[in-house]
Amino acid sequence: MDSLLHDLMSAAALARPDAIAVVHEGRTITYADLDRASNRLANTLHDRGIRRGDRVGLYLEKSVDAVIGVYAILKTGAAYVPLDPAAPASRVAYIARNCGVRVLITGAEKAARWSELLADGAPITTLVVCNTDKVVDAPLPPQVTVLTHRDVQRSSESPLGVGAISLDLAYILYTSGSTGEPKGVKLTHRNALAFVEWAVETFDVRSDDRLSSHAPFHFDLSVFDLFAAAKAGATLILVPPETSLFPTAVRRFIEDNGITIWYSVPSILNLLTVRGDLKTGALPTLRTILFAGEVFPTKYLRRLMALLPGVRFSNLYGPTETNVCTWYDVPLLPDDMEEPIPIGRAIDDVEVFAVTEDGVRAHKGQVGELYVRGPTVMQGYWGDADRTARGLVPHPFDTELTDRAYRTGDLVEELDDGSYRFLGRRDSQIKSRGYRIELGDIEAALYAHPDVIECAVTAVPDDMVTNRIRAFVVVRNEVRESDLVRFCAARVPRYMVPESFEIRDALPKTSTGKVDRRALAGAAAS
Amino acid sequence: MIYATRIREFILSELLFEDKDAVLSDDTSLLDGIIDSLSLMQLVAFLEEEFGVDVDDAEITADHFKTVADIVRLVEAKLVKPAVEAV
Repeated sequence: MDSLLHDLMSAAALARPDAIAVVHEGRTITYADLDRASNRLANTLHDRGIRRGDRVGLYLEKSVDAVIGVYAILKTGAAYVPLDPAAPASRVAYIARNCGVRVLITGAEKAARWSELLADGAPITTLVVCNTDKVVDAPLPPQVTVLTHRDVQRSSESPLGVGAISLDLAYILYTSGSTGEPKGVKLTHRNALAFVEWAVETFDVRSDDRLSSHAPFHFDLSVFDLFAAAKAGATLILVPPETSLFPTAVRRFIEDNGITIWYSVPSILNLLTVRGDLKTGALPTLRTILFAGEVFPTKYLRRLMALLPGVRFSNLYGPTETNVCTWYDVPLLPDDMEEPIPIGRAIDDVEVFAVTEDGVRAHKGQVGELYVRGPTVMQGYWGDADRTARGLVPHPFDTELTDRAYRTGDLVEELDDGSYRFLGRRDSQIKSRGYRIELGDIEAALYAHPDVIECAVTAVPDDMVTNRIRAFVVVRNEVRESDLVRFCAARVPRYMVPESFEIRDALPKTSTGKVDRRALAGAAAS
Repeated sequence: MIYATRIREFILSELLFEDKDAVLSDDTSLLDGIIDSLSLMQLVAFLEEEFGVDVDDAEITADHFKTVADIVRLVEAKLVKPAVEAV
């Protein structure tokens, strides 16, 4: 039994050295070469002082080099911190400062951003530009060393033995925080392996499978893509970002690459269904579609299932803090069914239960907050003991158990057959296009503007993407919507920038003086 | 050309984080982070409503949507009257 994530890949390299591990737009790499290349990069990192427990940033477009980077970092015993290449520099710099990223594996295409990151306080002293041999010309302070692929080639190919164990951190994924600062979810090798082993067995992932990689590496859907593929010795085919834009291109990608398993957020499946020009019997190689991250509208799910009759559809549910904790194989859906499908039952070796507001176990049909316990549950939020203590709690019913349960903040009800249905959130976290967004995160960005006196951000339910975002603001000095849009875009990722702004003289208040969000939500929906 | 102006305005004001006065040339690639899959659908809906054309699933491709010039070509080809040859 493998105890470390990169052992999965090294085992595949031993068993099937010439099998293709990763494909990206015509470039391929075998398992043997992936193992060798990640050894070289791991030694490079080690020579630059990276040791067990360190955090190394990954800041480049998803590519074969990015996959090499993931494995190289894991081999040093450090945790990889995937940084969204499309996020504003201020956000990336915050993350780097927050968990102390001093070494960044990056790409030449990000050169324009490096000095911005440094100017914003990222404590980086080494940039490894792994996708070029050329010396990179970028204005950088003297304390920053820049290495290229040529330098990496000179490193030893011998495996590093660092003595890591499965309880060591493997990666940190940052998610939207309600007060404007992203939270770093700490995950160990064992956290990931518990999920990956269940997934490979449940979905029968084999060496002849061809998995798509749609999710970016900073989203936890990528944990399935990368490591289920490695465990099975299967091929991972990275979806180019431009392909994602065009539903028919997604269809052609799946057909041309012989994809057998597709895993993504429902938003892109909605678009594929409605605009992908799918005829019955399309996508003949596809046998399984897994989806997670948001509710898949039943009408589109039913339509897609009718177009792809041979495909197994499975709903996977779970926050970043626990990876997938419940799942539901979708049966044939009745034509008149409108309500969303259930989130299903706990995966192997995971326990979920619902707790009412009074702190007791919810019975069937009663609303409660979903708690999760098991080996996939995170270790906490990096550097934030308070938030960690609020999320990871002692078992509410069994005081003898010492493991902590994670409070998801999701409201659920247990159905007659023991599976669960998602009902909503306890707080103001929303999903939009599968992205998890704290409305407070956006409000914090707006409040940073000197002329914003008051603001409230609301979610407007949407057919295709679950929610759209609308902001109500009270401003001084004739601030315009376009100013606010630009201001936000410099602070939060694009998908969090409100799609519409309404400038108001004042915001409606409840009797206790708080912003009356329900009134605003009503106004937003009309 | 009026189509280009309207299309450019829509992209700038509804999809892009720029002022109407900002410059979006006919050749700027829209695919390097300017539009995403959702705003692309909004753009298609806009073209269908504004110009009264039907955009086929198969026409929603990089060839037709990479630049403002590409979009204008797509719309113009659909608006050409049967008696006139499209170039």
